[in-house]
Amino acid sequence: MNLVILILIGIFSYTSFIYGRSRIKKITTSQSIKINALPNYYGYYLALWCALPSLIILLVWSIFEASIIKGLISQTLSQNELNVYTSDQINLIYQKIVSLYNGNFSGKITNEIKQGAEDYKSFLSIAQSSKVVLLLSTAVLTITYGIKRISKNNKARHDVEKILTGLLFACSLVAILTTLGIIFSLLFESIKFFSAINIFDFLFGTSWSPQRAFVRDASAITAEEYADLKNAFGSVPLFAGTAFIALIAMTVAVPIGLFSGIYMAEYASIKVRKFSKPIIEILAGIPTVVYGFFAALTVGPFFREFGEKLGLEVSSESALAAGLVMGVMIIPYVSSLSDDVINSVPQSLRDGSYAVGATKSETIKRVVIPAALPGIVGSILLAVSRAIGETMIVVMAAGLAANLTINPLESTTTITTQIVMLLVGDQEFDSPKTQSAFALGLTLFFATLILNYIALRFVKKYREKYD
Amino acid sequence: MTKEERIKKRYNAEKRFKLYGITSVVLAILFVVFLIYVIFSKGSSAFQKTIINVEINFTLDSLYLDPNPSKDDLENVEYYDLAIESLLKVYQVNGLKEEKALINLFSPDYEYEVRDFLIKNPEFINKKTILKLTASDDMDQLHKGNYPRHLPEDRRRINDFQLMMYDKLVEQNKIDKIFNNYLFQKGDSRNPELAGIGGALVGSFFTIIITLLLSFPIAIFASIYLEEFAPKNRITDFIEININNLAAVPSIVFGLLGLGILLGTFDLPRSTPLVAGITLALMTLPRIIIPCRASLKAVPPSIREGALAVGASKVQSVMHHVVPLAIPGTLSGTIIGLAQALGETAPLILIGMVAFVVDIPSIPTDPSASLPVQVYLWSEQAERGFVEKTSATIMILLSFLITLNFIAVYLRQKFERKW
Amino acid sequence: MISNNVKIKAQDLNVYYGKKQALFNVNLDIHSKEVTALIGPSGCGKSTFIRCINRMNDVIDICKIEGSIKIDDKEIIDKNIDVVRLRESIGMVFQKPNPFPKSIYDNISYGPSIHGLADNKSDMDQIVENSLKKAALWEEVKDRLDEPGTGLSGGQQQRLCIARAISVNPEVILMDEPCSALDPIATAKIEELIDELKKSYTIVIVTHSMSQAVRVSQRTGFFHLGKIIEVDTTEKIFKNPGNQMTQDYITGRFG
Repeated sequence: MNLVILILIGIFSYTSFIYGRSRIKKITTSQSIKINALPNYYGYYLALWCALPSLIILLVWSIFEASIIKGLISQTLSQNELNVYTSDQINLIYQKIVSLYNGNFSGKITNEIKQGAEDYKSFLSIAQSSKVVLLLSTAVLTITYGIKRISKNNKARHDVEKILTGLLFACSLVAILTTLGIIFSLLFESIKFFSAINIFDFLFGTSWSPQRAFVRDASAITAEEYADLKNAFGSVPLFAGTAFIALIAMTVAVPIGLFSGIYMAEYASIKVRKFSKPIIEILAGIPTVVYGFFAALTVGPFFREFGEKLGLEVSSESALAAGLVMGVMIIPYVSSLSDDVINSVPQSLRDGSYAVGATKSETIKRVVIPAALPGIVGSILLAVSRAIGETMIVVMAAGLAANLTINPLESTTTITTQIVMLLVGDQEFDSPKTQSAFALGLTLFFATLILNYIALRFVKKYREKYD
Repeated sequence: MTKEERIKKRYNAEKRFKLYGITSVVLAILFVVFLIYVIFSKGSSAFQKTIINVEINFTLDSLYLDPNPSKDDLENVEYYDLAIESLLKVYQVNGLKEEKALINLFSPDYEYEVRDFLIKNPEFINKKTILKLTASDDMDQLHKGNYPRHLPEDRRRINDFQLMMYDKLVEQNKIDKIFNNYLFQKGDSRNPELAGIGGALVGSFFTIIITLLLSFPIAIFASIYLEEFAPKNRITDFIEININNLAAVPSIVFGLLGLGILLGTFDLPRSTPLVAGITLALMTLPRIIIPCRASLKAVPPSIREGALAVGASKVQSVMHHVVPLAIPGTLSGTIIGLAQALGETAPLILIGMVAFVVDIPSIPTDPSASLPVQVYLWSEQAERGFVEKTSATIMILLSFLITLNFIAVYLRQKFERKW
Repeated sequence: MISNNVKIKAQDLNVYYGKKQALFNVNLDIHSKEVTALIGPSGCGKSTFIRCINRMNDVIDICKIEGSIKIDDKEIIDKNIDVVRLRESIGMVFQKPNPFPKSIYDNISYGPSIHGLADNKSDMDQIVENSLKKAALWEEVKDRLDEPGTGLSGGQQQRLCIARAISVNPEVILMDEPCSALDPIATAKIEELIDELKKSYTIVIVTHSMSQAVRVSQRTGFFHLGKIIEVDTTEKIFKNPGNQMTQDYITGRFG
């Protein structure tokens, strides 16, 4: 249906274009006046007046149509005096109604569902027809308006360009909309969560076991249930696990990354650099799910067997395995950025050092690196931010049990793992369990935001010195 | 310390330092090579599947058909009896237990394989032929050399009798390996030997198309605005800060966004490439804007001024002169952004693309999986046979990514203009 | 006084940057404890020449040097020469002042600390003070040794670089157009300094300014297109040059 509408809009717009163009030509010949722009622009002008309002209305309508219909039907259902339904049951019934309408419902058809399907059908057809009517009348109105303007010989090119610039501006607003969307969706659920669980218990509690949260409706928690819940959502072990695995990752990535960056910037010949830099960057291009698979398949078991031989108890989902593989993934972030930063240190500084009789390594260690330090620190912070936000490697290779430990041979879990675990599977959407995932997401979002901000400040400070 | 000793110490430090550098580079390269080696060695066997040759006689009686059956007749008839009968002829068995053992050598789809053959080749009615039927997962792994046959019988799924049948069948050349078309044609399955990435391939394809269609135009327009038209005020600064932040937000947060708003508020269908495409488009947007702006910035002012001097409006000078010159760099960045989107898993898991999808999706609003999500799902399965499938999927995914990156680099080099 | 001891002797020196030849059969003697100026139009090889003396051209991959340079009769165009020690005995000051982004103190102490010239802090303090005094900068910075070297004025930065060069006790100081980035007052200060320094060091200075060459040097060499055209006492070169080309350059007919 929407496709047909889109095609129709397309045809109308094209027709408007042709009409607008010919109309302005007629006007100029009959009134022999000069026009303000090329005839094409008048065509575009009319076509835009035809298409844009209709498209916007179509888009907004399509976005909200489904939820509005669902809302209407849900309301009817919740007004049923015989059975009082929870919101999840309403959801379930609604889905059954929709499948019945679509012809693929295979369960028992109750009267309620049948009635609901009929309602759905009528709502849909009402929606369809009103949509078409609305769009048609909009199109007529806007096209008429456009024709009037053309007849008054408006500055078509100017107007078209203004509309175009407005369109460009709107596109750049999408970035703000996205950020707002993220903050809104995270906050919305988090606030629901924090109405059940105290924010201090969440941030500072040391025991994380959401399985204990059976409660469905946050507002109906009894005192005993709350006392129990209090200890189920303490995220300190998650913060610790995240930090710990990130630390292991950085222990691998920083030395290897920094030294590769230094070697490629200062020592390597052009041939070697041309060859090795792309290969190292492949590490950044490999999807993290591949790393996760590799860690779970090869690295984890290897450490476990190796540990057994040494008489140590090593989990097959050790923090060491996950951290190591994550470190390998991060190497190119450190090495590429360091390479660029070192390369931009001016040669005159190196010359000054060589002239005094320093060796190459002394020059690098005592002149170049200190000069490049803010940039290098910035790149390391960005890498840390990447490590903290990483999901697949830890989901597949690190553990699921929150465990406050500093032993890398044990398994710990991270913020990102828990977000995935809480949301996968059959969860009711409004339980504290799923809401806690959003609260974790909010924490993660702010943590990476702050890290990135500090990192960029560092890099900026460095650029100021040398640009 | 004498002068000589000191100089020697300094030169040794120099050598050590250089050594650390070389070691690091070599280590990093070794990691890449090792990773690729492990994946490829585990995955290459998935491109073949084990089959067992079975003689089938498509008599009318065996299918309870009348003479001159129509196509509908062939589709509606029961093939189970014919299949079982033919399977049991493959080896001499006595008693129910041995019969069961023989039938378990085959993948449980035998009935449908026989059926599909006859429907495709109806000329074989009343004729005999030898079909290559898919072997079970255990047989498949056994034939590929991955099975621990040395273990005592009570610790493995294949019993001694089945092992004996296997060995005899190998002797008689009735077991073979052929190209595994199921890997590409079929959707997901509980049985590794029947599992394929067909669904995931189509799902990824739809997703990437939607991501491209949404993110590319919006990103280009946004870049053009920010680079060419935006006034230097606080709103513009704010937009730029937002874009830079979004580029660094972890991908899982975008998954939460998709879950909360696309699935929650807008009630779009779960598990579909449509939602995945929109989510990934939002994530890819800043990653296209940043290289696009760089390309626009690199176009020298003389081009813009030249156009303006001839009487073009600002919009015309930008659209007709500047943007075309910035396209190659932008394309390059776009392709790289798309390649990253192709490999994303976490956000797609959150919006539900973990469904067990057997049918290959036909439109972007059918539920499906994507290639990386399929890798994740299969890696969680216990059967040994899934290891090779997962690795093979990774191989296919990596080849797409490498191709995309090559195209991006090629474009960049071919169209790079040194101002 | 004009000495007769030859400190640096260049013989049949040919230098190539890749396929392009920059110096052609240069023969030149630099005498000890005096200032030798090298003049000539831009790009004619003067900087290349002095960079050969302390083997700074090694930093440039495509640079190839053939011929001989002897310092105190010891050949330095030799793979076996320890460049690090060589550069300890030769200081260099560049066209644009290039202090390290470190404190004034650390700028000076860098060289001595690498070469192990101070056993303890007070020795180092002494070295820093002496170098800064010899470079006529001590009075101006003695109270702010911890401030960054990059915070000084252009002229001060250049004197800092001179102090840095002196800090490792070289015998020769090479100066590549040291005043071209400075104002006339700073230039005058440095020329004064050079006059003082020649009592202890052999100085080779590349300069664009002929009046500078006249003011500071005892001997002058004229380079043109990678060849040494004429080298003699400064007085002779400027009053009565033997070569027509020298005459033309000095009188401003070209360059």
